[in-house]
Amino acid sequence: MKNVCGDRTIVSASRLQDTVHFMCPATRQLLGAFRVRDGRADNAHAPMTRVAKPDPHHPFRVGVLVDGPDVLAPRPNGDRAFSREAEDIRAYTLELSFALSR
Amino acid sequence: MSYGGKSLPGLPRAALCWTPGLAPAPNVLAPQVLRFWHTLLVASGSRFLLPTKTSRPDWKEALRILVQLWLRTSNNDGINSARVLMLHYGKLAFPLAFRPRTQPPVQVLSTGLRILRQLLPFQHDQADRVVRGDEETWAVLHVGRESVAEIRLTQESLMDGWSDEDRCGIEEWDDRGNSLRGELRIEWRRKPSGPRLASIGKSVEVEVWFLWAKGEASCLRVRGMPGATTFQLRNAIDKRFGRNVEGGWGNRAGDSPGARLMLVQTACSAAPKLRSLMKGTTVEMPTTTIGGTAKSKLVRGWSAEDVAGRGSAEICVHVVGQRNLAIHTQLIVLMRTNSPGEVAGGREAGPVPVTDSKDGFSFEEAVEVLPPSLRRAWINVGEPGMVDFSGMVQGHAGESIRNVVFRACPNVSDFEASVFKVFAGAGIGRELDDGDEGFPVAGGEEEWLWVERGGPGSDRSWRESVGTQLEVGLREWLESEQLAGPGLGRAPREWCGAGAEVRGNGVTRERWGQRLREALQREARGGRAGLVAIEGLPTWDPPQQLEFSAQWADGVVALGSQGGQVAVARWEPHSSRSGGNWRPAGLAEEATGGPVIGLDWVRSSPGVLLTAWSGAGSGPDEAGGGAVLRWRHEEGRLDCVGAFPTRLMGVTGCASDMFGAIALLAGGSTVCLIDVDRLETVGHFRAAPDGDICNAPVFASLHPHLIAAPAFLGRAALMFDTRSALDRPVWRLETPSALTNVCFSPDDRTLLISGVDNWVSEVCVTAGHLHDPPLELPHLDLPLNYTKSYYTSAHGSSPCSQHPAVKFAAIQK
Repeated sequence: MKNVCGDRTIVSASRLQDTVHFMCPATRQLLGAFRVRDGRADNAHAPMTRVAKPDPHHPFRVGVLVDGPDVLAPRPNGDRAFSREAEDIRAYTLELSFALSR
Repeated sequence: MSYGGKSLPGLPRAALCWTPGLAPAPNVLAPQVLRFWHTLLVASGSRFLLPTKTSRPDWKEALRILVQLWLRTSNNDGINSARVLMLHYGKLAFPLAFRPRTQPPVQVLSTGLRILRQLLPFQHDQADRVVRGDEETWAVLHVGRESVAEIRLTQESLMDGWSDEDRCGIEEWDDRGNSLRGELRIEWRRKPSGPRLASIGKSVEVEVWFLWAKGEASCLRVRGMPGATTFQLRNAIDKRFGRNVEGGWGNRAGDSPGARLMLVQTACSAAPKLRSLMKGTTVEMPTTTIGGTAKSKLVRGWSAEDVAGRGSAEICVHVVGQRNLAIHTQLIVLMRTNSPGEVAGGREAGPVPVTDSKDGFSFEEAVEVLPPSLRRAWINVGEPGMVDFSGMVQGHAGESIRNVVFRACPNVSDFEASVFKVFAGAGIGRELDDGDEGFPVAGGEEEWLWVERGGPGSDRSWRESVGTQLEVGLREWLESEQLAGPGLGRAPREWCGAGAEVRGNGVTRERWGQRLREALQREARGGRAGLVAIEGLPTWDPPQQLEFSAQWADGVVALGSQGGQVAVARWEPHSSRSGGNWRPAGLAEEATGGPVIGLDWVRSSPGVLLTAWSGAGSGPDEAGGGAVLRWRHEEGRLDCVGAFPTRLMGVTGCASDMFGAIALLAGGSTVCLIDVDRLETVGHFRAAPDGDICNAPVFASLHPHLIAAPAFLGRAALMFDTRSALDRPVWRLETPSALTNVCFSPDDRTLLISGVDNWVSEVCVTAGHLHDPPLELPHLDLPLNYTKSYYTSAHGSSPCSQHPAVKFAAIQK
């Protein structure tokens, strides 16, 4: 895994996943991913990331909004869709520097 | 049959033939139309000519324009997607073909008006008819109850004879042959009250600088009186520059070798009207005519001897507002003679007395001989809000130019200039090639040089020669520390731009990659990165949006909730150990009228936060909107200080430009541009077709005129330039995935676009093509797995830190 991007990285999160991806725009490769796990769910039912935004001043800080594990509600026709009002969203910052300090 | 037994002046006689009763059938008409679309006149008896008001008695009965949109349904000739727009002018019909995918109706209508104006000998009384008091003329194309296209009639598009009572019939056939009826109406609308430049400060000032290569500078200064508008300013400058230049310097091919005078627009943070003021213009300035004609007009007092010896020169027109206006607009005028030599004579230093005062503007001319070492200081004095430097480099089209040495400003050493790529007629330039106003001859990271259509050098050979050799002028900006002012308050740099603090945290560019790898490796081995909860909103109101502030280096984040509340939290580091916590630092409980959809910190105004919120339902009274909040960090308060004047259905986000002057509010497929200081709508455009969803368009990081918008259903990324017509993007890139968000890189070289199920790719901003291949992320085959991606600023550079933006222009050798 080689990061040659130097001055910037891409942070990506997807709605039905519990991970925040870090990518190098120069090599176009995935540098790695962090699973977002808060205290309300175990590893089998991890919260889903709505968005992950990097702090412009802190390269090791990423703000994340996470849903509960069940973000897709069943519709009458059997399909599943995002519920209009999710009540279990929480806001965190992912402090990567903590990982470095341990 | 000739029209009314008369021949229409200016029209070919063959065009006047008319066969009553022969209605144009789309399937018959279209092939001819497509082949001769700009010259063919097709007989039509299907519409009756109605009398209307006109100022031209000889055209009294001929000024009803009926418009028909014909949908061609046949597909046997490969043009099945073409539509034919019939402009009925009296008993004549002008067919125009266009393709719906690439040409929106408004563009076709504009083209049609232009063609009609060229074909028919209209006399223009433009200014009076375009603007009437506080109103201006719009042509609005309605189909059914919806307004499908709008044109603000300009001097170019306005056709004599149109009145506010005109109505134009429209028929459009859909694929099933159903007729949709509508009309083209002329409407008078209240002008959007764009920035009254002088009303913001005490006065507005335009400085025209003639910077000669040998270290001389000449200045023409235009001062606007308090209350003057940009429109008045433009008129004044037109009178002073445009007409004189065109008339005095002309475009006579026999006058070569001639100096070439080019006016090139660069970035502008002010309102669209001001941008239109700075629309690129090119003027041929033969050397031999400068002394005679210009002496009494534009460059008063200059003689042919003055010009002949200077070799090359720049003329820079700066629009300099008061400090708080922060206008970053300039016209760069590059002039080059073919006979460099010794300076003949020389002018005495010191300003020439005020020479003119018309239309509320005063003109002052100054000609000074400046040694090169003094130039920089002189410019600094003239521009209180910014510092800029100019230089000339040589290069070829397509060549990357690095390590630029500022020949003209040898003392510049406090920052470096870099130009990444210059290419002629490439990239975005091609997309703009068919613009009504001209075509670009060179494009690059920042700016494109335009040549007026029909103007000097618009022939193909000239284009090709430009494509092979360029001389590039560089202009580099560095904002000074004095952009503070009233209004929403732009803070001094040392307060809002915390770059120094960030750089002081020990994270260097070189270390970033190494430390990220370490963190990733520890995570892969089972380590856990810290997850710190952000507090600020009530526990019963879950957050929905999150936005970091770029103005406070110690960590400030805003949260928007589903209940419409907005909160600010601040990072408090632990004093005795590493780490910290987020603490509430302000809450606005009734800031919005619905769930918060978007947040954006105004970059140049610390503490000012824009928020977009969605309505509760689909009714007109339940549309979403936006609000401006101010965070008073000393008091820990977050107050709502104003609301956006526009309400939209299906709000998707808000954003502000790099200067915080203009904000956008996106809803559905519509984007509204709003003056942040005055909270007035200054424009709007349709970023995607009706029914599509334009997901949170954003301004570029360093270019206040560029707006990128992702179309969700249309599966396309679109780039708009507010300096040009907003009825079409400068480029449109179709993508394999529906797009959910876009993000400019900090240097605006690339646009990060994200789609569904981990589809993430980058786009070259200037050329509008995808970087290949897309970024490698695993796909899960989940259609609802919407992905959003952002760039980090890994080395800690803040978006609000003052990146020097490179501007350049090109000139033919």
